[in-house]
Amino acid sequence: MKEALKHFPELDGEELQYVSKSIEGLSEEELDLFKSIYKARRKDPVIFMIMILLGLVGVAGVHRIFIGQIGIGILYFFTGGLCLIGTIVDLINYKSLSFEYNRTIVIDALNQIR
Amino acid sequence: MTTGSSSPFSESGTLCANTEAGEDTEMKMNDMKTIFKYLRRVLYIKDVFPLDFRFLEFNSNQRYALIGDRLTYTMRTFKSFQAYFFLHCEWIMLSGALLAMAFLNPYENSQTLCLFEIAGVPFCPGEGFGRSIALLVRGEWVLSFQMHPLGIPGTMIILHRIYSIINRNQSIKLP
Repeated sequence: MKEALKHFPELDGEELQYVSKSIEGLSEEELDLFKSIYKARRKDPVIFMIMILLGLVGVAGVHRIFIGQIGIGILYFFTGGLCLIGTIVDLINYKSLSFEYNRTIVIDALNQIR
Repeated sequence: MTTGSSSPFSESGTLCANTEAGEDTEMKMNDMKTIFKYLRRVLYIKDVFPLDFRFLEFNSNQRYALIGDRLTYTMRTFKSFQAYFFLHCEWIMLSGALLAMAFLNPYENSQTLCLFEIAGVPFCPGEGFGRSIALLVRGEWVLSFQMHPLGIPGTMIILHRIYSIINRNQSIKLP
């Protein structure tokens, strides 16, 4: 946990625990590579939340396309985020949604390193 | 031809008489554990209060007892409740919305689920989407498409999303 905090001070909660578990067996060289890959590809939950807030104005679903869920993104875009209900639930749920994307990045990065 | 000695009732009766009280309680405890294990597998529950055997224990009186002090126990249950909530809130919302839209009356414009309309905004891009799904459930494909062209693909997208959320929840291990 401490090592993960040293390398990734911006993480917290579930994501921090997941990353600290997955970098456990890595050597220093691999850790540097993982760090650069993960920092470049990770999606920041704050930017993600600002995109969700666009949905309250009427431009909903941009955040879903941003994290690669294109089908539901288009659906939200053309129905105003399921008439604002989906937008509000995503606003509550934004951290676990961005973690759902970042988790795939962790798995991809680990696969490419090894 | 049946005799009293060979009937299954008498055999089981002697078996019951031979067992001790301790074995009996052990058997009951194992039964409870298997039931809880099965429930957890079905509901994908990992860390929720009444089913969690890290905090609970059968004592000699067959009542639950707490292991560890009260504060850490409540903190951990609260955290696990949070994790549980965030795992499940999205698919519950989606399936609830689908059900609510399916039970709308599609032939009148009297009912509404739209929060834009309730808030007083005159225009909503999702106009007719709920009634479109209600028509789809009643088997009227063409009317459904005319009401809102995204009704049919939207239903498929929502169902696929629910499926993928359940898949994700199986693969995530809570800390």
